[in-house]
Amino acid sequence: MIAIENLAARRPPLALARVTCSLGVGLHALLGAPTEGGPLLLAVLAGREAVRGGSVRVNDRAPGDPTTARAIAYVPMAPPLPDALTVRETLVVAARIRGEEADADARLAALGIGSLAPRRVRSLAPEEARAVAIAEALTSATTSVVLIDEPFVGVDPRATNAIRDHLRARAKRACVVVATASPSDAAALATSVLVFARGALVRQEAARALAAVAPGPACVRVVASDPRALLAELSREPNVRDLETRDAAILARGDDGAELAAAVTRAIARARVDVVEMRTELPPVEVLQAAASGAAAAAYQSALTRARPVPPPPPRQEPA
Amino acid sequence: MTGALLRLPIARLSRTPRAWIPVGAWAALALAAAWAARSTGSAHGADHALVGAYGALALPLLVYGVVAATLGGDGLARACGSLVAFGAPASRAALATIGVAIGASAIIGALLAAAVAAFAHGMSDPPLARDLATSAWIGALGAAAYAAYFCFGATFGARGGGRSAALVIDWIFGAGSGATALLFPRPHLRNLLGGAPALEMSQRGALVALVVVTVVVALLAVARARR
Repeated sequence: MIAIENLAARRPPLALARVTCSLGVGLHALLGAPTEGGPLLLAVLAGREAVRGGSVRVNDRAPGDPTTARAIAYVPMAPPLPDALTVRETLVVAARIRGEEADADARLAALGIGSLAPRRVRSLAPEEARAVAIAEALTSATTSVVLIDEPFVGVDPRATNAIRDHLRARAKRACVVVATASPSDAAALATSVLVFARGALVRQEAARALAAVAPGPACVRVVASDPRALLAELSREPNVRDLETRDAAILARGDDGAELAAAVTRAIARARVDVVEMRTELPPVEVLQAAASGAAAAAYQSALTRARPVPPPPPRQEPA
Repeated sequence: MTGALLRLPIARLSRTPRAWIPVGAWAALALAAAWAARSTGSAHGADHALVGAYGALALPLLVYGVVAATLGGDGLARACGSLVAFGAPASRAALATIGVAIGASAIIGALLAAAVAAFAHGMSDPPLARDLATSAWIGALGAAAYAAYFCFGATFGARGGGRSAALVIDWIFGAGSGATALLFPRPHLRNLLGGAPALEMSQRGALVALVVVTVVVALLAVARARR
């Protein structure tokens, strides 16, 4: 569906250089901070930024082609929506342009934001507007390419769980590409992860292999109904090396990912708690990028050198 | 798809009451001038009111307000951006927006011209019915030309700031009677309303020139919005 070869693009101060990859049906995550090039690549794929070198084909056509444009749903961080229309009318207009059935209320309800339907777009908070744009993108029947910048950032909290489900469902018959700075989101959602650093694609992995790229100890994040009971049971597990609580979540760390997961499962069973959320927590994206480009050791050494206290200078000898 | 593309600019016009305040103010000015001409008992009251307050001042500023409302106070490309984001061709979205601006301006321009002609109608003016009809179509054509011209201006500058520059340029260069003035709507509208022509151009020539200016600047605006 998407074929990119030696792509170069520029939106100062960002640039992409020699990006080559092909993306088919499935969910693909462009992993990296916004300045690393993922959002810029989305804009290029949507035909919003010019291709300065190489080639980009979406459904075997240029991204700016009118037929292709109707098949692409693109949601940047601040999506443009028709300010004077209501949310319901916005979805009707979008459906007419894309040439599909307009069942606006059902589409909004699918993401749990049906109450926004009668509101004017200009009255929406930014996170509500983003949720509407994402609803339009994910529930469109005719789009074959869905491009979303940070699908869980700045979104109405009512919609986040539904967005996750719809992203997965949509990825079964469309090419869904998300740009994210969260390795955990990328690993949890995507089938393939493309790691970007300074405008270059430094690694393309199956999502489940991402944890193996990550240096350092494995980490599991658990949100449970009774954190205190779970903490007590986790502290008895020999494979859990370190425990930390962050808000309502418990972060359990261990040297081996598989053993750590087994230990957490055992502790949950013994503590008899309800698990609200459990997922593998990956290190920050900078660490993954450094690992992916083989510079982790160098970065570690550099950080270590900076962190070491500077020894005091030897006392000066007074001349005799 | 055309219906869907028209919906946004029409909604901007109809659902932004604040944008109608300047439009109402300029219309009131034109009507006040017409009323003043009638009060003084001018024999050619309609001619004076139409060439003066209406054609020279109220109509350009009123159309400027209508275009601003249609574009949501933004540039032409940005005003169409939300429709283009859903896959609409940029040229068709721009054409629909310009069409709404031209249509709304023409209707308001025609109604106001007819109202001014009726208010200021003097003894030596043509028969009222004929004068109203003539004033209405000239007002409609002049308003359409200005709408297209301001839409073209709105393709320049951040958030369509070129619209204001277009207003000033028309004022400065269009007020003359030289060859440069022929590029702007002002001298042709003035000629059709019975004022001094530019380069001794006939009224038929002014009519053709006004249509040409309208079409050319509208197409230029569409071309610039596509980029």
